[in-house]
Amino acid sequence: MSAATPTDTTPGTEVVTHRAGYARALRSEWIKARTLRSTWILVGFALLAFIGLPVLVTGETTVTDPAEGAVAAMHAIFTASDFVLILVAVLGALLTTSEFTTGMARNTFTATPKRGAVLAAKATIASLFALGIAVVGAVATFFALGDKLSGAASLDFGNAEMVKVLVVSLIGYVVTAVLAASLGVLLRSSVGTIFTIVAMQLILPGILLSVPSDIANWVGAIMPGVAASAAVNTEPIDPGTIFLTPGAGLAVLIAWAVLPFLAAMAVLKARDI
Amino acid sequence: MIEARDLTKRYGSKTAVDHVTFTVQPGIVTGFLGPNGAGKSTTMRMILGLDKPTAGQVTVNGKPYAKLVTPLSEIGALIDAKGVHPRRSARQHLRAVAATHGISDKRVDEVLDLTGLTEVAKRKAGNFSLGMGQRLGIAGALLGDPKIVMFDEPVNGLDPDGVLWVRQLARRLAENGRTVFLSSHLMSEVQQTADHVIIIGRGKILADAPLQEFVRAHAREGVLVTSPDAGGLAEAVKAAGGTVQAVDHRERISVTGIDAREIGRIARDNSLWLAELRDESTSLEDAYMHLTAEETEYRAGVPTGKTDTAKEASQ
Repeated sequence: MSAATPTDTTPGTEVVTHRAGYARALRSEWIKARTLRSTWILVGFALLAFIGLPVLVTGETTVTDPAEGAVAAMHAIFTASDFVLILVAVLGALLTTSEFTTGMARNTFTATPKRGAVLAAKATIASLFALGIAVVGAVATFFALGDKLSGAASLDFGNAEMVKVLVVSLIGYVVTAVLAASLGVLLRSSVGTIFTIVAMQLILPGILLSVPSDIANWVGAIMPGVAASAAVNTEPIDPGTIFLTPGAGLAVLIAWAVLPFLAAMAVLKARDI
Repeated sequence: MIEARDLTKRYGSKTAVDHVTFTVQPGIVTGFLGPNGAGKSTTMRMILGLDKPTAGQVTVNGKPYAKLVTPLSEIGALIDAKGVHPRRSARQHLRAVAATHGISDKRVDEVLDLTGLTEVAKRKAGNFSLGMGQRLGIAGALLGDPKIVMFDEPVNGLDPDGVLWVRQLARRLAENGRTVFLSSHLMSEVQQTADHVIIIGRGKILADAPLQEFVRAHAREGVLVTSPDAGGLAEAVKAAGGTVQAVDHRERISVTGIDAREIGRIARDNSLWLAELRDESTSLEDAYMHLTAEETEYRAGVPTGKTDTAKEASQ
């Protein structure tokens, strides 16, 4: 902490400053994120899709086993995730790419020279937005679906499989946000980052899993969305089908956040701003 | 204080900054001059730790930038007026920067007031004119009440009021013992503001001296004389030992070797009509042009000389 005396640029009082590290970078990033209208437009559309899609497509339940029903109900709540995750990715990507596309990065990294702290703060903000959308969206969807989640299709928080679906889904949201923010640092381009995420989330899995090539199938199986489904899979895997076990699925899913984040950290520290 | 030692930056095969050594002292305004592309901005980015030097080092108040605990209280920089998110309001932009150092909203409002932006503080930075953008950049630089201020081309896009304001601000900051480092390619502007100049060309320091000393050493001395009796005056001046050169206008001559005071006396003694007498030896622009002309000559001279080429070949 340092304090200056009142002088030429301080009419009246002294200017008190504090160490520029992660905690204050986090506050700064929160101000940056919430003072852009685009952030709230993305959050609005994400919630609209999150709640709207299940309401439109979820029918009356046909399951009779409450254990199966609870898992199905949780899946129903997260029906829109494929689309919502794209919006979460756009939000996460813009947190980092906009720094480079607008030139704000020069202000950001002169204010906080610890580049790792800035990236960690951005990843935290991206994760909090992702979790916020997922939690608010899930609760709102639960109420919006109302009677469709009753009887055998009721949620049951004593059901370990159902809780696992919830937890893995939330992890998937955080992973997508961190992945997008990290890719944004690596590519420094909004379009490039968003295209990459759309390809990984929506386009590549379908193609890679259907072509008759083991290598392509394996690459398809480790795409984040596919790994997330593997993590909550309860069906036995056919011998000959390339699909990750639940444990491996969860590990691969988390790796999709950790590895790009570490790569972004290394690149951010090494490159000129 | 900013200290650069052997500072070098290469991009591929192009050397933007070439073994540059200089010190920027507190209490005075130091002008950083050079043509576009000379390496001014690259040097400033290295001072701020944004670009890593290929070789050498630069410190801010004795420390490399990355080691500063509260960088905004050490050095405030304006390096790119457009480096602001265009869809964020000026005030929120400053609040976001201030938050990195826990600087209060009150201080944000102070710098807005200081830079005359209070009334437009809620407008999006993208709608700002270049001049308003410069003011916002300066507001950001002053947030932490820094010991050093470093402005890259601060008067770009400012109206005459703004130019005067920047000049007075720089003077006031220096008078209060701060280090003031301004880059510009506008010589007349620097001449009115700076006490010391560092001149960079093609990545190398060409001069590093007090302004007056630099001007005296490099300016072409001369007195511009306008007189309806220019012909007679030229004769009298030559007789007194001066050198006379004709200028574009037939009533005007340029005199070297004799100062303005003496020329006035010669005119009076010969009853010659003197319309204007202007000492031209104090122009930074002249000194700068003279220096860079020497540089160009020197560079151009080397490869064409046959002996030099032969010597190079034999080495």
